[in-house]
Amino acid sequence: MSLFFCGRADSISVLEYEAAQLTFPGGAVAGLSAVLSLETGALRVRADTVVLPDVADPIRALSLDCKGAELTPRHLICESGRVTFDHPWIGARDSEVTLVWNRADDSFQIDAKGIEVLGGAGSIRASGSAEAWSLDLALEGLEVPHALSAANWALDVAKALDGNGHLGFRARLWGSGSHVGGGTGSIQFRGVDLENDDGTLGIEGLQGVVKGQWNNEQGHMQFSAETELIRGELFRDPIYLSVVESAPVSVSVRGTRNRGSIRIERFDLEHAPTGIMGGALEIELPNGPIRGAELAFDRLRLAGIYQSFLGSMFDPEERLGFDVEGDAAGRIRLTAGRLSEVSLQFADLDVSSSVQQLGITGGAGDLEWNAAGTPARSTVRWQQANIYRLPVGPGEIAVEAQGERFRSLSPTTVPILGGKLIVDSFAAEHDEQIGVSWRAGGRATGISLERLTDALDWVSMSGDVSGILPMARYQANELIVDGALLIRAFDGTVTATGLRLKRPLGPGPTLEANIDLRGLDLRALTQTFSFGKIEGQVDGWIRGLRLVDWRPRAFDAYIGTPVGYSGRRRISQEAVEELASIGGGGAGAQLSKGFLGLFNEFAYRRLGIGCVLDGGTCTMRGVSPATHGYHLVEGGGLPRIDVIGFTDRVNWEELVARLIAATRSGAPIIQKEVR
Amino acid sequence: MRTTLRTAFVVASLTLGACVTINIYFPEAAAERAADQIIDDVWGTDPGSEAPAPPQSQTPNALRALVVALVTGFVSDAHAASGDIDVSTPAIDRLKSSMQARHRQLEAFYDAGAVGVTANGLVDVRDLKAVPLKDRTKLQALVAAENSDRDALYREIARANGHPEWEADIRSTFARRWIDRAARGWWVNDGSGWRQR
Repeated sequence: MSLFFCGRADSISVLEYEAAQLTFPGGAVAGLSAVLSLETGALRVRADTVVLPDVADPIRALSLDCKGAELTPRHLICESGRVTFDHPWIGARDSEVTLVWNRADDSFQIDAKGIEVLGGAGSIRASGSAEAWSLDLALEGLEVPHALSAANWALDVAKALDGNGHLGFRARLWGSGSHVGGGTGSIQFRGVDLENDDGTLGIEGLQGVVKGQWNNEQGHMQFSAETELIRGELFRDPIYLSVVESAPVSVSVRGTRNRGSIRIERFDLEHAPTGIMGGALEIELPNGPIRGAELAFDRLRLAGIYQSFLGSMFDPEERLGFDVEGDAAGRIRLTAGRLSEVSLQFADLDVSSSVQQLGITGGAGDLEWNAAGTPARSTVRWQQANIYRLPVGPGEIAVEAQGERFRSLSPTTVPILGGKLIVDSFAAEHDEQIGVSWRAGGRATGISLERLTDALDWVSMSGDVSGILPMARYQANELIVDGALLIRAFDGTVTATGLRLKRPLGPGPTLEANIDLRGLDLRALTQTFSFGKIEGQVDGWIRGLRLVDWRPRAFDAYIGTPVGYSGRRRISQEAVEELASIGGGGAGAQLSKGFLGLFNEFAYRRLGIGCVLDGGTCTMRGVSPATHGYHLVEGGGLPRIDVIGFTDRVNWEELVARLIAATRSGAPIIQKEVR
Repeated sequence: MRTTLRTAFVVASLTLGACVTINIYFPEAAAERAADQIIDDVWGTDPGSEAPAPPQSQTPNALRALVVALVTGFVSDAHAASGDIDVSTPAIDRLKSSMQARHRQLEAFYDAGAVGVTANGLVDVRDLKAVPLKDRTKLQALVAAENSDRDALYREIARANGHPEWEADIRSTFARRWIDRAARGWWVNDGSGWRQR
């Protein structure tokens, strides 16, 4: 270090100062030289490098030139200086500067204006002394791409971001020596777009402001910030939020930062369409992961949450067209980065589907779960529900959760169609490989067949449905029912076994079953279907039934007089005509025109009709073979009438049309001869 | 002498018969026809350049199967090896119509380069950034649903034709045809990285 005085001893005209290396707490200046002409007031300062406290890269080629510097016993004043420097974050820069050094108390004030930095411009004021200094920054029009480059040194996440738009930045820092004691600041977002490499994080057109402050004492930082976002789109896979001025997002945060982690002691987020939530979390540095968190949901609006992201995940093709209403509250906890506890209460839940697949009205519940495996009890209630078109009455389920396994705590009774569905046991679990699976066992009693058929828009039938379902299992999008479902109808029984339902909520649900029919009273059956009048009984089956999209695709079906049946067997003339019309012939239609038209009904020995549906075609058969055909009805007594079918194969759609016409009109519609 | 000749003939016949192994070879040409039929239905009129299916000649393996079958009299087996692949079951119809409906939503994502066709007969998100933020969750769910249907389709075609073991062959046939028939401008990945058609 050297100091030179030039000129006569009684009139020094130039002061020169040089130092190869000058250090101060946390920083250093290298290659420093300063020349002040006392005659002209010209001040010239140069430094090769300046290392600032806590700043990774040094300032290079610093120069300060001041034409009218004034040196008095009290001050050194430079009012119209120019400073230039180069720094990796912001490149080579120059700006106007005013410098005042108070020699008496060693305090200073530096004002730099018109600094062009990060695509914008602004000013810096530094004032105080080495023991107590402050720094004010006011930068406007900063370009986001430049700001991201400059932020690379501090935030690894910034390296992976691309962006556009502008920022305004204001900050006031204070400290002592190399220690930054604290600060306040704000960042204005003006049409900011940000996106990471893989597109899982994105911001578009963001308008808003973040205001914050922090104190930094002995390596322990306390901070708080408030954010108000008024416009834009936010996406963090899989959550998407659209922010509009009428429904801004407000976030407030308070926390501490220590070496190795950031602890957010309290945060509150409010977004009117989705709700209010708050909580605390701890993030491991650098850049996560989240060590632990507790999020409290004061009020979640399920409609907004469903629209924001749940709908896109659950029903991207909008096939179910769910409309969700309701509120929820509760909390979730994360431990070591994993979900460890959930406690959620929801109420006023209404779910409706535009295609009537599933609906719930007046849903409410209390969901409790923890990862530790401690049993937690949950309850779910509803006032009304519908599964497909079946209305379900009020019910409540109590479930105990243990890890990823759930089981019912008590039998649940659900009123349905005048009867009851009693779920004796229910258990579900989640497995990484096979997803969600569940199984349930129960009973059905007294379910009105009339209401069931009305709900399904079928021909109204009387009777009831009851049965025992030893076990229903759902796995890999398939529901399998073990055991038999018993339907009491038409004074007989209909037993369904081997029930399998694939994709119950997906496209093209497929139902498979075997159905056994025993002792059905033909009088009740034919009256129900307005099919003339037949007295007697039938047994039968529908084997290999396969419905796709609830339309029959395959089955082997037959009903006929039971072997050994000795009860009354009579068939009306109208029923004969209907039967003939289904067979595709018009023989029956001729009955009323001849001798047989004198009789209203006929005795028969046995009857039967069957169809094997395959590939859209029904292969017909009757109770016994006949010459060139099959007997639908074998007559008995006098006058004897046999109804013989000759059409072996019938298009299924046509057969259904004939059945519908026959049961509606009560008159045959096919006028051509049987063959 | 006659006895000797007769004995020799019987032994030769038994020996030859004992050596014959009947194999049912995967009918590649029929599978390509089936794939093209389904691609037509799902993607609509050929969205890509005119990329006709290869000539429907017997592959050497199929030909060998036919010769062996004819020699040994198992004509019906040979027919099974060279006949059509049935893609008209209700389950396949359902999957096809589901994919058809979904394609109306996916098509714009193919056009934008957000989604591409992959070598394993599936689709994959190629560039999520090509999609507006509001559609990104939806796109990923669409891709997952499409792949689930495609997996089921290959499995179902193999099953419906009585050869579950053909699933991998059917998948690779479809993969090749999806790629060959992708529209100009769409992205495909045949295993050597993404490229634009």
